[in-house]
Amino acid sequence: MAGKRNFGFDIQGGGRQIDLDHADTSLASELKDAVNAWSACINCGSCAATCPSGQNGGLNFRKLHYQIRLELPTLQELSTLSSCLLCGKCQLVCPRGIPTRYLSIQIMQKTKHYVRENIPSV
Amino acid sequence: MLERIFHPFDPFVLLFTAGMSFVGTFFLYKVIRWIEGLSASDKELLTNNIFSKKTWKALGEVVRESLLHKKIFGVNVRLGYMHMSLAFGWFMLILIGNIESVYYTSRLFKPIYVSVFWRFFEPGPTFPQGAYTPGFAFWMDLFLLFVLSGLAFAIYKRFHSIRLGMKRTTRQRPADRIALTALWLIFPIRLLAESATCGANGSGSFLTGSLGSLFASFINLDPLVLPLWWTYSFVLMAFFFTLPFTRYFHIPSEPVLIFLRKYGIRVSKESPGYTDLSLRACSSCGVCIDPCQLADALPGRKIQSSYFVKTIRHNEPSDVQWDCMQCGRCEKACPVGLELMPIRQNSRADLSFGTKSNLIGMNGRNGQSHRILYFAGCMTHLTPSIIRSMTKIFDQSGSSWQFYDSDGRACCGRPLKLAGQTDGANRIKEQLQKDFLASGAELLVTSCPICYRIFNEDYDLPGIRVLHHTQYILQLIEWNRIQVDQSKLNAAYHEPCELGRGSGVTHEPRELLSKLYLKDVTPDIEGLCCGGSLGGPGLTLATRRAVARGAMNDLSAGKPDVLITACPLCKKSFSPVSDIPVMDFSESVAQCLIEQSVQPELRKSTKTHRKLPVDAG
Repeated sequence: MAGKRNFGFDIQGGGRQIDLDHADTSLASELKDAVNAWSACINCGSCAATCPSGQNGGLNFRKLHYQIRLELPTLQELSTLSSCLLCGKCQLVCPRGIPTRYLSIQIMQKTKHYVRENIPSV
Repeated sequence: MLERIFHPFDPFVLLFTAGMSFVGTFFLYKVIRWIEGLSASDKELLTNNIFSKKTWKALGEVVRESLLHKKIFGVNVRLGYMHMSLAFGWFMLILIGNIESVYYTSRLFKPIYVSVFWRFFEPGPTFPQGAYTPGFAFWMDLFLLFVLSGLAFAIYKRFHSIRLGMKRTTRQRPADRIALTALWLIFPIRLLAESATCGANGSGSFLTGSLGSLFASFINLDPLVLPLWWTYSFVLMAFFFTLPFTRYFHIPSEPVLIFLRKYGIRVSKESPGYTDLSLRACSSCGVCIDPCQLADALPGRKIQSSYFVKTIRHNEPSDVQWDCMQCGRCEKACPVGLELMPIRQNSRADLSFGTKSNLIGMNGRNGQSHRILYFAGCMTHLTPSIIRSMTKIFDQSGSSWQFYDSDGRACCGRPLKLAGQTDGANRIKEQLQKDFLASGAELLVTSCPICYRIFNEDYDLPGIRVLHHTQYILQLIEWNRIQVDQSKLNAAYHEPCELGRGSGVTHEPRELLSKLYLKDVTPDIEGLCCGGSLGGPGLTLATRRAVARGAMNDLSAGKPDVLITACPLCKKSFSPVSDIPVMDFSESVAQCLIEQSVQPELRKSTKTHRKLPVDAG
């Protein structure tokens, strides 16, 4: 068949491919140890939907912790967490009862050196 | 010359003197370090207040708390007696011993050991003639008996602590055990040594004299006297040498803390010296363990302040740092009055990158200013019925009001503060403060006790009164701005930690409850935590539910038909574990409200400038 067909999405170009053999999931496994209940996450997105910082732009919590599961997020993605207010609304709406507020604290705690070294303004 | 200074003397006093000098030097070094570790403003407080009335007030508190242990009497009379007899009794022994030795030697300044071992050098009045005349020897014996009675209670407490009002007591470290053993030995050995001296000399008062003459009737006491005094000196030395490394260092630290606290110094990150002093002043008495609801919900985890203070005092890593709910029940119970919550918050500090809040001005003010600003708070946005009820109440009262965070984006900053991120919290504070002041409002009403507390404690809002909605509603009813119909139900009130213990709002909610419901069946207990607290992010849902169930059990003691709370978070925590309806005050007021016709012009003005509140949740 000549030419490319447009399916509305593209699996070739762009940076969204993840090489599972080389993906860095160390942060994910550390977090799973710290917040056991995280394994129960179904990525429903309730946390992001209720998030005041999410509504205000900047932070997409669901996307961030899903990304961490797949591979280490970029610095830019991690630093969006600095707008987290730790208000705990996400935790109250989570249908799986995951302490998401603690998850956020743990992500910050475990990546603070990495983020601070590379983006001093955070 | 030397002989005159050190007279009277015996080599056994050297052990005690060595111990005393060690502990004295260490204490002095610590005091210097504590004062050095104060921030500049705290140092100023110290120098400004040291020669004021506050010093006398602090002295009074030292007598009341460090010696008489008045607060522990509030926990349990026997426990209070135990602490008082040991502390006050020992103090009186030292004081009277000093006066006695000054009286007999007519020298005001002499080595400390002279008064401590005075009975060795001066055996007292002849026995039994002088035994019951109230001279020095009599008082010394009386107070020794007093201390020994306290010691008996202390030993009894090791086995049946519940009889002294404590379900659980602290587990001790090895160094604490050594010091404790030495402390317990001091007084019986003192009794034996004094009795032996008195027996050998045929002297003494009612206790040492009679015991001495009893011993003397069947053994020759002369060769025993000196070894007993050596032993006494040795246990004193052992106690003093271990003291700086054990919980007993609270004995010299607590008075220093009381003075600095009276001068207005508080726990802050800028004054690490004061924090260290607070940690040292903790006596690990364990009074904080029983009030902690996690002692039941998470048995075995050493979350309680008594343990937590020990871990940070010894610079050990804590695995329970994120588990404490910061309900403040331990702080309220603490007999030393330590600021345990700020200490915990500061220990959480700098664990993450600081929050850059990108707030959040009030949108839609339309250039109009209203008298009342309503701040619902994040949690209230998850309970839209509270917002609906508040809207109804505001409208009924005909107030000129505006919904500040109708879009649900503003945060008060307290959640960050509880997680130790003071900088982030301060940034939010600055922004909101500015916005509140610019709004031209006179009254800030909030539905969330968490917000209420930080607005009251940390925000600087000149000209704006901050009220929790329970206070505001009560005023509306008292001023006849709204009328309510009393319900025929019995209700119990759950006091939110942040509102009652945290902010001291205890009276208004109860008053409101009595206006709304037939009977107030609230059990008479210190406010419980619902388990939903933002203070303890590390807790799992199961633990939170266990705490909520425990609290629900206690609150249902009076068989209420409905549980009333004043916090959206408490409502959310109790709802899943409760058999009876759980309601916020605003909801029950809205239910009981007698509809009135509101002055039309006011209603109009409120409606046009109010955003749709319910959609925001």
